[in-house]
Amino acid sequence: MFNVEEIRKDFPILQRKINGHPLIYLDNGATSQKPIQVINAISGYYMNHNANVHRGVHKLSEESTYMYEEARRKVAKFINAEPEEIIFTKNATESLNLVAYTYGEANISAGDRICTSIMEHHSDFIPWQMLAGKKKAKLEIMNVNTEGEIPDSEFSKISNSKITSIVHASNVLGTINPVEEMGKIAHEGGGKILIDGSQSIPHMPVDVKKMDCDFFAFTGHKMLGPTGIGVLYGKKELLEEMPPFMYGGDMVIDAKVEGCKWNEIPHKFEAGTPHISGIIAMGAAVDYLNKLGMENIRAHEVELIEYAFQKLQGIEGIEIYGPQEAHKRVGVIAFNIKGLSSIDLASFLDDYGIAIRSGHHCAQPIHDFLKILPSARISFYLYNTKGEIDVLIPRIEEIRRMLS
Amino acid sequence: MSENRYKKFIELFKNPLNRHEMEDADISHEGQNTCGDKLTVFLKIKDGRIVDASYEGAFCAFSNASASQVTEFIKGMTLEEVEAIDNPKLFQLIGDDLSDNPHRLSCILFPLRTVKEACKKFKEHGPDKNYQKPKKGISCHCDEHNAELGL
Repeated sequence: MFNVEEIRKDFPILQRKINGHPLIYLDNGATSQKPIQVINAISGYYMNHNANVHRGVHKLSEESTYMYEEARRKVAKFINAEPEEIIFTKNATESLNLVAYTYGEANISAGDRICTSIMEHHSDFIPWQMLAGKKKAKLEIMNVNTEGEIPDSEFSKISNSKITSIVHASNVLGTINPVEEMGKIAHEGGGKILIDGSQSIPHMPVDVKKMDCDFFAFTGHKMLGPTGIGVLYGKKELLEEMPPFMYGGDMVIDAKVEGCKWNEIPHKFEAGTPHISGIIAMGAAVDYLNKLGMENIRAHEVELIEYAFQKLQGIEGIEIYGPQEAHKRVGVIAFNIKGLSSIDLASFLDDYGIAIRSGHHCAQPIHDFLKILPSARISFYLYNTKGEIDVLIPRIEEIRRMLS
Repeated sequence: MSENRYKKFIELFKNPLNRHEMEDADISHEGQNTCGDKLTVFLKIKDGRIVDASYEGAFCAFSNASASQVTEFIKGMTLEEVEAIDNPKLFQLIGDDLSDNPHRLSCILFPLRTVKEACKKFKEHGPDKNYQKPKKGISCHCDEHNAELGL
């Protein structure tokens, strides 16, 4: 059922050669490649259905609206939510900011506590840092141990906080956080929990009801969808109480000189013409992932992580960050090699058609906390193979020898 | 193949000039590049002229090669002459304008920018003998490094 060679045929870009070498794409933590089904969904929409949604009564507008709302139903089902609990944004960053600017603005006051962690992406760190500063609230930051995991002793920071915003899976350490347990602790203390699922939802099954989170933010482009489309899930009762994020068309039901009445959720949070083609293509991405099965994708990636760890550990002077056991992490592997700068490694690997990331990965606080240099990062997806790891390892060795 | 393409950089990287700390510098200044690399420049300045220059920190091979050439080139120059060094001059010093590899351009511009910032700091505030050890990141948590970091 899960046949990588067959899957790879759906991704036209994987046929490309880079600097004369077959592309080995290991930068999926930054963005994933797109299958032909997603690419066709975009062009098919523009060729056959294009019109604005929720407005016209003509045929094309009806078709567009149906396709748009159908994509919302698909995304809702994918995470076990209701369609009205799915808000389309432009990316995970906007989803996270939306919560800080609406729920945060309305509910955080001076002296309140906001909890986050040292392993957050800047998009889930800075909004809370700024909100805390503005409201004179206290930002509680959960730290990690040497394994790259948040120890239980840090969890008291959650129980004292009005809102906890935590990454599901770290984009540097790969650590999968116990978000279900964290949510329970937040709720027992009367707080809410927002989960940044950018690095988890493309790679493993996610059930927001089982997780019992209040909000769940993610982006489309890391899960085979196009760029420019993100999602915020929020519990219905919370979204209904929250003030709008942006004002404009579609989010208002009655706009008078004297004042306005907001539209129902989710439309209250979707001001202006949305990224219709992107959302429809996101629906196609969800179909593609469902066809393969998220459990199967996870199993494939766990195998790749185990294999990569085994091979990487043989490189002289390497240190890999985060949990060493594959089941505790996602397929994001950040590392440094003694005496070798990560940007040099990434740059020289590109000469061989191998794409990896280097730097802080928009997560400088965790690098500073661990007192480590900017790191090199390889990250897998469903189309990667052990054969690609076999090509990568000797190339790293070669570059290490050349530069040290 | 990368080794030939960047032969000059690799030579400079492996045998850099002036890569050391300078405890009696008249000014030291740490610059940070967008990628997170950090480089501290040390200058000895007499009568408005640079008499010695060095650098240290945690940075890539391209920055290292560039810093090596820049610190060597500015010895004997006035602060104004350093200020006037432009990108074409820098490319000439390095022997490459990175036009075929534009994403590494910031790596080679970084040391010159840091040198200019140090000169500006000196012109505005005069000598600062408060020597600051460059913040060096580490690439592993071996016992030796942990001890160095107090972990």
